[in-house]
Amino acid sequence: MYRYDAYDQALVDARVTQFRDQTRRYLAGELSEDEYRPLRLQNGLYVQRHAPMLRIALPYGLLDAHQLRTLARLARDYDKGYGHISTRQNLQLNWLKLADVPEVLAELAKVGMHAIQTSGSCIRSITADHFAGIAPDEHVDPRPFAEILRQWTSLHPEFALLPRKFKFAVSGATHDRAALSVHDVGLTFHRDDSNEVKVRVQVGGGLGRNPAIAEVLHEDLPWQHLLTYAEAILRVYNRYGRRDNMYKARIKILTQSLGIAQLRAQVDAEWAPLKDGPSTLTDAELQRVAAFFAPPPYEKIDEAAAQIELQRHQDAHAHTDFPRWVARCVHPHRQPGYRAVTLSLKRPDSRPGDFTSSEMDAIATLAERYSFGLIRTTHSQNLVLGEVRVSDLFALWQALRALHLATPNTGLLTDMICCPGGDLCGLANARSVPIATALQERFADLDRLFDLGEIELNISGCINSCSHHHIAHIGILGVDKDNTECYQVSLGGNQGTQARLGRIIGHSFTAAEIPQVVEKIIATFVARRQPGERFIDTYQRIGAEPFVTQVYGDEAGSRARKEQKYA
Amino acid sequence: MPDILFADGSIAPTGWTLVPYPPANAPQPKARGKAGLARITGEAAAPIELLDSLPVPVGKVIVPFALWQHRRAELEARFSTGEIALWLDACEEVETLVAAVDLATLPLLALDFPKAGDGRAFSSATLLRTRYGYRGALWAVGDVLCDYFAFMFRCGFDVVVPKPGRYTPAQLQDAATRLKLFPQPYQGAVDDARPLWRRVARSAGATLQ
Ligand code: SF4
Repeated sequence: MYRYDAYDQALVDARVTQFRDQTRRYLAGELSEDEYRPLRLQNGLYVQRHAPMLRIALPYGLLDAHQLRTLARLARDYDKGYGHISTRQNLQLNWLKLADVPEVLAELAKVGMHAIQTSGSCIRSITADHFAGIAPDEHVDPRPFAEILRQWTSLHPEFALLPRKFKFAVSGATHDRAALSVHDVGLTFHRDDSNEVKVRVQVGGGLGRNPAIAEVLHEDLPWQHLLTYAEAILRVYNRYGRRDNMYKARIKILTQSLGIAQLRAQVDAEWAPLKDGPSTLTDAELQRVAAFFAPPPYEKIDEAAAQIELQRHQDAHAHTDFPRWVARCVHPHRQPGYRAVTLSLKRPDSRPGDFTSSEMDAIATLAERYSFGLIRTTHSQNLVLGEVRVSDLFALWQALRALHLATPNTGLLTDMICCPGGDLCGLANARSVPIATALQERFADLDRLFDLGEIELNISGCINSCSHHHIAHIGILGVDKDNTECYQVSLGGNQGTQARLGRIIGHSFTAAEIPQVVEKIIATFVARRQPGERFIDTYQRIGAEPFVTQVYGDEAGSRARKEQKYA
Repeated sequence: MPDILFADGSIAPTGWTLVPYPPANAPQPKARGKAGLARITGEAAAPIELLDSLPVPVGKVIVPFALWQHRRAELEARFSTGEIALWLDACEEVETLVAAVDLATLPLLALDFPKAGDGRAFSSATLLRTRYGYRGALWAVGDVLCDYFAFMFRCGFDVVVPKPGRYTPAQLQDAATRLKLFPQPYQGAVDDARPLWRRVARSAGATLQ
């Protein structure tokens, strides 16, 4: 992974000095609340319901064991001993004291970490395919480009005060595991017929109040022009993105009001004079950065033999959850004899995405033993050990099981994406965690969970949509109705290359009603599915109608009338 | 006008008077919906009556670009002696200015930051310097906060002018000492178009240059 040189280090150190001074001036009354807010936000600091929340950048979801141990210690010393993985692959601490934050940032800087631009109206920290560099379906490792972009976007003077947040996501694979099409800019690196690396640039995706799927701005941009082209996009956005209404300020609105062709014409006009300028990437610079992401010293392993051994282990432990864990949490790897392993943070009795300091320490140790000391985070709020020998899988499973990190539910119904919601987040309309907990309990039975197969269910506490509920097969959104927490349900959303927005099925429900509603949706699927169909396949085949009828039934009419009366 | 700060950290009194729009009549942001050629930021230009009635004091003054365009005949003589400078609103495009004025004849050009979170003038400054070859004085005026001074200088401003009374002389002095906090930024900008990797030799063991 990327290692800081003296320039990176000097920059994050100076950033700590700067923020320490800004916080001092704020506490001394030299900076007003309004002036301090964007400064603290661009250092990842939110003021939440109960305490400030610090969002620490884990660039493109990559960190090492030493950094994870540091996070464990900081969570223990300055917070309540746990952290939360966000849908942007970052780590959030929820219970800090404002006065401690400069110190926490100083500690982070010592291990090559920061919280720069993890929030605020600026270019945010960049997310990536969590199997980048190891996935068999990958054509180009996007991590060097993500690091080049991280550096270019960090403290960019022209784009420090954008109309609104601006999020990049990158992938170099056939399958989109990074939700590219709901980002302001989604970059897919691929190879053309002559093996040259090209970039497919999508623009204008985003969720929130006006959800939108990104459109293609450039099909095959030569990689050398990545930064100048990005500069052109951002300049057009900085100049013409709306600033009079924060709900219409994202680039998706500019994309929609101009139309993709007009936006492309403007970006091209802006890009023409920048093209081939000093920011044009060179082979030497790409190679310098790519060297940090060179494959680790793999052992030469015979894949066929490894598979036989794994099968033997599975047979010998057929009575345990090991075979199920292999089925759900072990993923193919491009290196023979190796696998990627998901550590599920969606467990009974634990908030989705949360893990404790002692778990962080233990995971760091496992990463060192089994995965070259590297850890990845996913946008679905899990962790990945990306470089595990097949022959180590059984031992790793035993260790993870002892830590309650071996729930075999990756991709299944209980692998819900869930934001902190009303328990912590100041913007929430409703709590999201109790919904997740209730569903966890109801769908705890593994036989049933496996029978249902792959289902994505996401829960957002408000329309800011941090949990991407619009692109979940089943989306649950907290809304405020006459000062009570209610939940709106949508169906048929999808992420990946076939991204689609879900459709709201009808009026909203109370928290107590939600488990029953989900049961009815699932029952419809079970009754109507054909052999081998996933939930989303069935939905796409039969449409929303059967689900709606099942959920609202006879009551649909009477409730709709009641709603009207109150409206 | 108060003291001004130069990119090199020196501080001087200004010799110019800025003519702002009166606050009540300042162009109000207004949503305009779908419109042509990207002018969808939704801000109305200053009304003609306002441009007609705004007094222009004697001496060296910085007047709104729109006012100068509207009352060019009246101001032409003073302009030719170099005592009329212009300021550009954030919603006005530099392209319009460039089409209307020979930049080389401007004694000074100011770009307005209408509120602290509005970064459009960063792009206007960048374009004036890199695309339209403006070499003259470029001032940042309006809601100009010291925590963004370094960014302003990187984008080609050579003077920043905080609002009267916003900073004490000591605070401005303090801000000047912080200008060099990030001597080697990652990306190119107006002050140095080269990204870090073109400026220095980078490697895991690199020492600062
Ligand atoms: S979706 Fe809303 S409630 Fe949930 S974390 Fe985001 S802003 Fe907070």
